[in-house]
Amino acid sequence: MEHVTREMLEQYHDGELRGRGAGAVESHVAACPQCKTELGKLGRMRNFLVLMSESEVADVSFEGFASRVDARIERERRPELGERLSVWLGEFFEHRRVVWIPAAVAVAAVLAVVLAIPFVSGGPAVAPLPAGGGIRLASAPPAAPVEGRTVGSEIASVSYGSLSGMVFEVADGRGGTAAVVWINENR
Amino acid sequence: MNKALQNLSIPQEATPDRKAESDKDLELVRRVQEGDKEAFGQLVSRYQRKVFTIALGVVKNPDDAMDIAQDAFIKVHRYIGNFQGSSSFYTWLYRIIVNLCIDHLRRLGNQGTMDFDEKIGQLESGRDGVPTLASGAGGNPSRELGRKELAKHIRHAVDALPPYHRAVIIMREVEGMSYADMAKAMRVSKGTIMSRLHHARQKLQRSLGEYLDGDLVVK
Repeated sequence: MEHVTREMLEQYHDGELRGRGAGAVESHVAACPQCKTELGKLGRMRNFLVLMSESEVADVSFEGFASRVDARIERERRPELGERLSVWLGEFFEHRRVVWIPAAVAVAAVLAVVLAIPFVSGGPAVAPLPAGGGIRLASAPPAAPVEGRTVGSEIASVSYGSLSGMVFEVADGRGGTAAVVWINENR
Repeated sequence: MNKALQNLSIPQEATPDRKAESDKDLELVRRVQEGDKEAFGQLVSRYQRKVFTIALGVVKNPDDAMDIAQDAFIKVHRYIGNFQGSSSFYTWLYRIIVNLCIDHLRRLGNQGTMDFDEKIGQLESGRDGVPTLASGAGGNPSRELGRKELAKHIRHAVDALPPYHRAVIIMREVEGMSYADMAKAMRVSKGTIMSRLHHARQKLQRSLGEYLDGDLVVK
């Protein structure tokens, strides 16, 4: 008798053999003790594996499993510190853009003028108090209070759009002076 | 089916129940995609045991299997927006589990516990030594065995299989997955699934030996 192949037996056992193929296996196995035994072993192996799985999983408690999954998802939802900081800063500047952008531009403009003066005038110099308007100031703190000017007084006024400000010269506590740029928020 | 065959083997075919389950899954998935937290909880409840069973079948260690089961649902939640429903939800879920298990075993391999790729190579060539159940059970299979004791012996035989063989045999025989679904879950051809199943069964049959002959009484 020609036996059905092992592959066919397995496919039949797995429910993957349909129609005439399944019919051929059934008629053969009904008449062939050897193939019937083989098919029986496949069935018992399945039963053993199900028994093993049920036995192992039966004692496992899934109480709190869903909560633990939820907790981890919640943790995953909370962004890291860096990301949160980035979002916060983004929102901060988003809401204050009207103030901060012009202010930053104004400060940059003043600093550019301050830093440019030495190069334009050929070297560090102390400017006298302005008669009015414009920006004139000492580009570097002098060693001593400048003659003709009171330390702490306004050196220059600046304006940029709706913003205005002043440049002061103040004592640096070491016998010298330092320039301070002050920007007012005029909203 | 021929009545004489009914006691031998019960082919597990796709049933109307499975179709209904699959439809229910898709409904839950749709609700989760719309932000329904309760629906996600239902998906977890429906599949937590199955996910754990497959993970345990592959990685062997219950604690690791539980971690992998959790990881699987985290991934489901993270990527469920991408799930289009072109395959069934459980096929998609099982693919996630298998990948997590394989990653886990690779990590273990990197730690020197096991050379995963070497194991995979062995599985196709059949070089791995599979212990026989008779030796594990004391050499006398013609006797009564308690369910738990028998389960331990079967586990011993299953653990000796390479990981991919463990995965297919559990998916097929315990979870009743079709060749097509296993192929999708493991991203291989149906032929590869059939080949792996065949090798796994051959090894288990050698390992379980006379217990499969039918004279074992399970108490």
